[in-house]
Amino acid sequence: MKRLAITLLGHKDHGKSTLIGRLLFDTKSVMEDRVEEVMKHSKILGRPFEYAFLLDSFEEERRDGMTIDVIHAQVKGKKHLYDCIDVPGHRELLKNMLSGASHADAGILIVSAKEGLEEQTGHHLRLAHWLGLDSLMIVVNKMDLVGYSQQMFETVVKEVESLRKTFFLLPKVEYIPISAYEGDNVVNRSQNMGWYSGRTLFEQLELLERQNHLSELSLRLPVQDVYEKTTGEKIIAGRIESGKIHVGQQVLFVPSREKAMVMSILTTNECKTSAVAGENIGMIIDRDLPSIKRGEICCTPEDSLNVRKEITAHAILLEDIPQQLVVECGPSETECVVEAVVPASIGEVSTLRFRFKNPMIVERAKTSLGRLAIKKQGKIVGVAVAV
Amino acid sequence: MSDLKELEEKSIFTIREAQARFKNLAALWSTGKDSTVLVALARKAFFGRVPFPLIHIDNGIDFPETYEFRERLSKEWGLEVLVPKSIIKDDLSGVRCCGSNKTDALKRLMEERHFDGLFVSIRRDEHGIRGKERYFSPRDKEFKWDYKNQAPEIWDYISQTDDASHIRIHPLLHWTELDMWLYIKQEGIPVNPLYFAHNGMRYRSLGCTQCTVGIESQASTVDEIIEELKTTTTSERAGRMQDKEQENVMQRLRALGYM
Repeated sequence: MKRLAITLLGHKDHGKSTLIGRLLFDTKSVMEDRVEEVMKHSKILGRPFEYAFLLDSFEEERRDGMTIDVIHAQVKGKKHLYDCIDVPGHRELLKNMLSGASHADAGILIVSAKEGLEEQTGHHLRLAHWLGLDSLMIVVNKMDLVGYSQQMFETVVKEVESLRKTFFLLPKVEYIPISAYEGDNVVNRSQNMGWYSGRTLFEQLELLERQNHLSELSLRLPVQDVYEKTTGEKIIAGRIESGKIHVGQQVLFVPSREKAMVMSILTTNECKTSAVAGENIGMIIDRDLPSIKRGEICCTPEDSLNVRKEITAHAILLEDIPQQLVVECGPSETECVVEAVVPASIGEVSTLRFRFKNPMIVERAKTSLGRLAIKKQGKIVGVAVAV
Repeated sequence: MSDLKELEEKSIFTIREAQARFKNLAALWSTGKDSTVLVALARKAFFGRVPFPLIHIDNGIDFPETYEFRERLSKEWGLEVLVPKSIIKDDLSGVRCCGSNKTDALKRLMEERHFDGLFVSIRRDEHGIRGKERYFSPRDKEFKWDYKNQAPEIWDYISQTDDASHIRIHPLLHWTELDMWLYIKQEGIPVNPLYFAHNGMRYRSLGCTQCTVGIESQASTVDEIIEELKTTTTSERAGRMQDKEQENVMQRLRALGYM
């Protein structure tokens, strides 16, 4: 069974946690004693069964009815195992939201039919685009609170569509009218919306395919570490971000521009003749190169991989940043000077120009080499994708 | 790439990343299945040798099987095991026992040895509160977990803060209980015999003799445990007192530095 990571998106109180709770409950992905515990706790707080409590486990979250930090919950499908990522919808908790959503393959944007579009609806939609999610589904929730009205559903669909058009083009998305609380069109087909003949959310999820073309791209193996065995032999360790590698192949390390031949590939404790994107390998080369250390990128000699002195990136800042700071890209890091090309407020997508003190490899890719962390005293204060 | 392989790759990347970023690592090893899998993964990550010491906090009232298993495996795998003693003060349980005894013993050892990173084998599916953890989680000098204001962890990037006394590293966060057993089977990893049914009872989650309760079970092999887990309707830590005795106990324990 394949795993798919799905992030929820949407304004606070539009029902993200309740929807995952409902998915867990209806697919029987949650143990009975957890359900009992939630039942008990809901009662203590004088509420009916709160599906959201299957996710919101902090005392404060339950008391205040809000998600503070990310949680992952596994929903069992027929085709996939879904790692559902529940994120907070409050704007001030964006650092937590991104700590969850950045790990997703796909997203579900939730919009309440009762409240309609709100601030974070648009914000999360922009973030979904910025994150480069493979696909997006949109659910219109709380249909039970608007009398399961088709007209109300269509109003929300129209609003979201016009919002989507204002900032970018996206492929067509599916809109599904649901009630997470009552369970309409989540896993089970609703008896209350005869006017809707499309798929349930669960059926829609089962149609997703995870995009994985990374092995077909050029070889990128960032050196994570170098281990010296007691025999003096050196093992170069790293995760293949893209492409493939095989024994006997000539490789080039950048920025040192040292060339070598791959003598052996060790994955964990066995020897292999080749390895592909996603694998963490150990590599032994035919010569001792002291310059090969964390931060070097292994590619093929005919590749035009070059170090960059400056780059432009679309960034999300979590707080105000000084002009001089540290950026990380994969295993490399350098001090740098940042300048805003197209400024934006905290949490919105801005365009920044980075001038690196030490040149490093950054490229436009959906791998660690295309993604940067902006750090202040070791703490992430912003993230960016190279353009 | 197979499902288990994907889980393994994420863990190995995390373990190696910790080794590259921290100067002085250690790993908690209760001898339970999760921390034993972690040790097995570390052996894989570093090609046969675990480059950091393991810590088994010993309160003197662990099961005899636990001590035997610890001795056997540490010899077989050439592990360096540190055994800080935690003192049972009186008849305590839950928050007070695990909080004051085990955590205190760990604090003393961490200070003595200046460990800046500690591997802990928690998983998100074990408990709602553990589900809220990050892969790399800073703890302050009092070992407190600032759960209301966790540092961001975006893509594979982590935050390291100056005021942290050490960072907890959780390479198994994304595994489920069933994944663990499937992996134990696939890799032939030795496990503590207490997991296997004896006279119609086995342990599903291991603590010390004070806070662990067995479950009724006939599962006496890894395959039988896997079958049992596929149909069970109760969660793994149902037999652990610190998760149950009162609402929010686990949250308070973790905020105080419990594993």
